[in-house]
Amino acid sequence: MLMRACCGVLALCWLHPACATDIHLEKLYFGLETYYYPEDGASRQDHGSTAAVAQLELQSALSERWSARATPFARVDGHDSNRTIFDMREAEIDYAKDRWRVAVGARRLSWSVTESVNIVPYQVVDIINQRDLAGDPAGQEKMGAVMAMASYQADNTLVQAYWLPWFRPRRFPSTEARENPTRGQLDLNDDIHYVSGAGRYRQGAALRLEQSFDAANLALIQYHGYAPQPLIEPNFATGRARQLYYVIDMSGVTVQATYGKWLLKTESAYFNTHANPAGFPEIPASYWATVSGIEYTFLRVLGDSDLGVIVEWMHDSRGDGPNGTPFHNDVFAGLRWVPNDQSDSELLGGVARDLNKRAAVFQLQYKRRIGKRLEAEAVGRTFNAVASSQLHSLEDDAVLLLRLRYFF
Amino acid sequence: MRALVAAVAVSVAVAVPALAGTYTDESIKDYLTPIAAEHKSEEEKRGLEIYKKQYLMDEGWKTLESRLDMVLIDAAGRESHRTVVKRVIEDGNLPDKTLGVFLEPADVRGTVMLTFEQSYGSDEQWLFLPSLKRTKKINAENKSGSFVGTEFSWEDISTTELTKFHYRYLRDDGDNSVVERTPVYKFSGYAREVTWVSKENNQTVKIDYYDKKGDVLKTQTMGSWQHYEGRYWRPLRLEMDNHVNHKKTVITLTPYRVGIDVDRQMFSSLGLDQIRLSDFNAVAKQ
Repeated sequence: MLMRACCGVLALCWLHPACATDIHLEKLYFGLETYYYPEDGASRQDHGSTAAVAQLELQSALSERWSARATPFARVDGHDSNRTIFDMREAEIDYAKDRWRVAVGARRLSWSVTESVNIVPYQVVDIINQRDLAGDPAGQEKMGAVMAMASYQADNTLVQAYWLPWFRPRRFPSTEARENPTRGQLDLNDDIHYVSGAGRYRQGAALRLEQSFDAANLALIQYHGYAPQPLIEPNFATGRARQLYYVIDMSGVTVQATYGKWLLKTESAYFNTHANPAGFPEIPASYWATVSGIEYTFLRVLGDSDLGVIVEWMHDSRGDGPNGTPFHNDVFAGLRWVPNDQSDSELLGGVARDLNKRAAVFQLQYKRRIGKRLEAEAVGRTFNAVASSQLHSLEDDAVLLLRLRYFF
Repeated sequence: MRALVAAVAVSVAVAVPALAGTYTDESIKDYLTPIAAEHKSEEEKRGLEIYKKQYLMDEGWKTLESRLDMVLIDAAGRESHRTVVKRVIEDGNLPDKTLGVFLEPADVRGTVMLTFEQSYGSDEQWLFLPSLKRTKKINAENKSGSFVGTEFSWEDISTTELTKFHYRYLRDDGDNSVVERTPVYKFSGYAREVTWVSKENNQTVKIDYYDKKGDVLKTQTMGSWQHYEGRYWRPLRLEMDNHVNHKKTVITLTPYRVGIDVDRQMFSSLGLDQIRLSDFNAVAKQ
């Protein structure tokens, strides 16, 4: 509803004669995404699916101070209805004057600084945008979040205040989808509950302060609102899972610093769960989480290539129980190979390995441009996990993803 | 992707307090004295003198804007293209800050690179990735690697501070003086550079880059010179020929807009996600 209102306001602005000529189509792509699972899954699960996707990005400088942006995205999937979606990734109006800026509407933003959270489905501080796990089982697909944001930028300091009037529940793979964490036994997209009577309209807020030094960027984040990851209570009798969204107060910090060929990164947060009403014993005690590590780059290896080595520690004090995360005490180790060639190709291989038990996700991804306008990406992912791991439902499974995007 | 700003073949250091257009030996004395102390022989003094003159001519422009069209040509003659709009500001007594906004290829459109030059040592660099909305601080020690797949490296195209080289006059070559420059920066990709400096306008028109074995790796030639405000010279065509892999990159620049009004807040790692591409479209259509 709010999303529709945002679109409406945007449409009104653009229909106004003064700015009707000023809309720029900044980006447009059509694409295909194919998931293929070489192993057999559960009986009702197939070997993958193919979807058509499209995204266009419209921007308009309405005046020197006002601007608008809209980024509608659509995916139509042949097999998995949960992967079919139309989403306004962005639909915002901005006002900027001197050092002040106000933005209202649906937006996407990124607060993460580490690499592994941009590869595996786990987040620490980057929680304003809900993730669409149906769209991308690796958790990297962000849905637009409706917000009002005001910011003030001093020379080396940025202060941002957010009002978050509308929460969006997580989207999960359907029962037919292979990466449904219950091997297709449970529908995870029904039966959504909130601790607050206001439901998804419980008001959230966030405050972020970022300081820029020459060699480092430091940010402090305070967030109040629903945790993006719900508690899941399976009911195998009904074939459904009850999802419960609870409230957290997150106090987080991110640092990204360079020191010669070293990059040092951390994102860490304490999640206070005391703001929830009594009567929800399943809500975890307050917990903390961190992803911290280094990236070292070997320059001009084999001609003009750069080789980056990434090592990060992932820790979450909730542990790896059903409502924790498989990445509760893991090391992510990866290699990034960038040949600096004409097609901007990049190869990234990595493994997130549990330090307590045998449980690991291996991933290899390769991306390049073909010709002037076609971007191709291939991702292979395989899993290896003992029965006590959350990843066990994917034990010895593998997935191949091919993504093609044609940019106009 | 590596840094963007190409093309300021001859440029400016701002580490010196002075009013626009009033750089003299005297006003850069504190900056120059330690450099001069390193240049002892007659050939070294003569080489430094030529580059000091070039340095003194080129300051006080405050802001610059240009669009760079790059053509990358591989050994088989296949071409690929990049388009970047760059803006550079002199920021008080601090080294230059450069913003590069990618317009092409289409898949990287909207990518922004911000660089803070440093007089000594590594620069500071940030990269904004529009698809992720993420601003990444990146390794800036890599001055010697390829710049966005071109045959230029960041060290070939960033601004030239006097502090970055040791100079030695080699010989007279008709219209040009030939001066050897040895990089001071320990992570430079070159052992030395042999440069041809025009006697007419005192600008560097050709550079041979040598590796440690003494072979010529690359040759850069600068052409289509333009004169701005009666002082600054800028080449609008740069060509880099790589003699090892036989690839070539040609950069064509639109005439610089000098002293334009820019929002200084853009030149901060805190605001890269706020850049409006529409503000750069006008430059793109020049």
